Amino acid sequence: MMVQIQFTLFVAAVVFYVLAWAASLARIIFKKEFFSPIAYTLALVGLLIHTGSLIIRSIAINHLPLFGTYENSQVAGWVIVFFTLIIYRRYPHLRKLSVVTFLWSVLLVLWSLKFNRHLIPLTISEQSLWVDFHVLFAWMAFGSFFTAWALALFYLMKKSNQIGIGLEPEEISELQLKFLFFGFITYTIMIALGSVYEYLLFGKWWQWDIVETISLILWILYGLILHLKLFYKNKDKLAAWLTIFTPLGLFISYLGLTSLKVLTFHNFDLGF
Amino acid sequence: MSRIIKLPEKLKEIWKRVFQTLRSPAKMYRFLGSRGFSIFTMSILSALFAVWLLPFQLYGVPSQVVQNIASKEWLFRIPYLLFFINALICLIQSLPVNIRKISWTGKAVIEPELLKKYPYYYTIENCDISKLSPKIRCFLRLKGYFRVKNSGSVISAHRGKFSPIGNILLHASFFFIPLGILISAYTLFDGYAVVTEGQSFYSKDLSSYARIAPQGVKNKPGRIPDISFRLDNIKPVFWQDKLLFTDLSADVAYPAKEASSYKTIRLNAPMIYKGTFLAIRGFGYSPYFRLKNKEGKVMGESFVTLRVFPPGAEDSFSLQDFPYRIEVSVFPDYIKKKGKIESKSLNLNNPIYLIKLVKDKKVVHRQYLLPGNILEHEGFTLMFPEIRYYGEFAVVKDTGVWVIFGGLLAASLGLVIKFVFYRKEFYLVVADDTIHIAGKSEYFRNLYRREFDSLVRYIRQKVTK
Repeated sequence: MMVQIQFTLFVAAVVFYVLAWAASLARIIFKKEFFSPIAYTLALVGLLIHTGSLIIRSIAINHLPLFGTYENSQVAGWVIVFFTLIIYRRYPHLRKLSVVTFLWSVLLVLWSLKFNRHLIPLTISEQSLWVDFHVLFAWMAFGSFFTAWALALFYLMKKSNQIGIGLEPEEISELQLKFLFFGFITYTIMIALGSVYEYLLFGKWWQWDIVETISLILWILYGLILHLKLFYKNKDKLAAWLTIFTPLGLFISYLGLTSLKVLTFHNFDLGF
Repeated sequence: MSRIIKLPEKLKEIWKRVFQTLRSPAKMYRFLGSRGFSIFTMSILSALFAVWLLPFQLYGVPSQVVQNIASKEWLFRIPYLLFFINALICLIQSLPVNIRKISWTGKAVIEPELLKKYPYYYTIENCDISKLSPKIRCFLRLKGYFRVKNSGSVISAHRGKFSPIGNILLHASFFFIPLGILISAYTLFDGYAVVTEGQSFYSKDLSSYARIAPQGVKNKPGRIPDISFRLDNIKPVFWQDKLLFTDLSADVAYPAKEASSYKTIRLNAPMIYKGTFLAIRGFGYSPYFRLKNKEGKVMGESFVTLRVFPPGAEDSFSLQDFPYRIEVSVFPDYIKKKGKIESKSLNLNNPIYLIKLVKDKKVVHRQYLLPGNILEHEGFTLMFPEIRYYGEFAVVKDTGVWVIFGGLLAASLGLVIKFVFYRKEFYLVVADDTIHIAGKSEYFRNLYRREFDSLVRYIRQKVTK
């Protein structure tokens, strides 16, 4: 019963996200500010319904919906809409971002349907606050890096005069830096928490699991981007390109490995 | 095309500069501590991991092999070394600046002439100063200025006094981590023990271990920890009798002889005992066998740990003077379905064994055996009167890991202090019927302009006659 309610709410949320994306697109095509609050309201309603759906799932399954690709993709979609709405409120000039982000969110939540959505309890190795916070910080990092990704895209478009936004390229670049800061902090904390829990589970703080290797590469790359942005102002364009390409690794580590069937203890899709 | 033609000249120039740098120690020092070199080492490291490790992992090479490549190959060691040299020089070079920044008292700048040097400066003339209400202080606090002081004609607000500590912590953390790794390399003991319920484990006795990982520079394990315990009980909990453990715990009494303390170790909550990490990693079935020869003399009897979990899995053992290899399968909670033996659950409620005696790869005897039943073959008798769980335990003593965790904590804290609580200053000075407003921010210069403008707007609104 609960699965059915959750799924119905999920479908409703997807419908609202699609409508919000359509409104965002209409705003750009017809150049009418009138569509902006409509897109915001639709996305907000969608987000609330989606939150309800995730809460119901959490109650039914007795843990946060952070395990398995179905739940992960659901949360990924939620996080993207959440961060977009923050931008919508705080930086009205950047509302055009939603055309990219809402679409990504819809694609992600639809992609989750490919995976097992049965209510399966957590295995003993997943039952820990360390894991909960590890995953929570991973999602915060993901949300920030994704926003930085979209901002980098806008920065490059603004630089080549392909888009009209009421912000200077330097301001977009600094906003991008803000999200990169937040993402880098949460990503570091995520790695630290994962390392402590790995020690509690295996007696080893680092095992060179493929997801760990990808995380390390991304951590170094984001460190590199931050160095470029902080100390080489004339390399902003290069930093923007790197910000666009680096999240590919994130997608591989979070979502792609399940499809590639690679040996990793970060795979939470159970074959029941 | 012109770029291609210019390339050799550019290369020549780069080479000339590199050559000059290599010849001068002072230049070399500056180069190794430069930001450009930081970016270079980071690029090399990320590229190495991506090109040299990831393909192996995608092909399913075990993580132990990857670890050996990443930690022992000179191809990796050199960039690590360069990275740490760079971080060390950066830390040394930035230390005086950071200390100077920390010693900043946050004292208000009251000279209008000094305020003019700030990146953002604004004046409001001909205004009613009496309207400078406490609301401005509240407004500044709302904007994230933690320290707001008001002394009549001066309002000063700032935050992030200790932000330089973040920078020091972050760069220092890079040394905690390799230091911890180095300590581990010399001291780590990583053992793996298999203990059956009711039996005791003595860490000092090396034969108690199923495996000890060679470690460190000498390729030898570190000092053996001095612990002992008795395993009383293993309790696995399965979800819907599927291979999903919702719990796996082991009740242990320690030390083994006195059994003065008791503890339940869970898979997700290990035990730290005399500084040694003791964790349950897995479990299996351990049947007790008794083999008698033709004269009725016992040839061997003991618990034997077999990899026969999950039900139906097969493992074998052999004994001296017994010409057959004994292959065993266990059905822990057996049921007969359409003439076939199956297990209705994964718990040891009603076990049955499937025993095969094998000689020259041929099964010469096959029989289902209940605990206590006897298998007879050519005068030999074999029975399995009892079955228990065995536990697989990790016994790890790693002093370096605490230093590494200290490093990870320092890195996380350093980043939060540096990037969340970065420095911002704001001053409002009233002099000669004019309000002088100035401000600056450590980061986000352009975005700060908007914030500054909104502050100025707010103040102007409050004080304009």
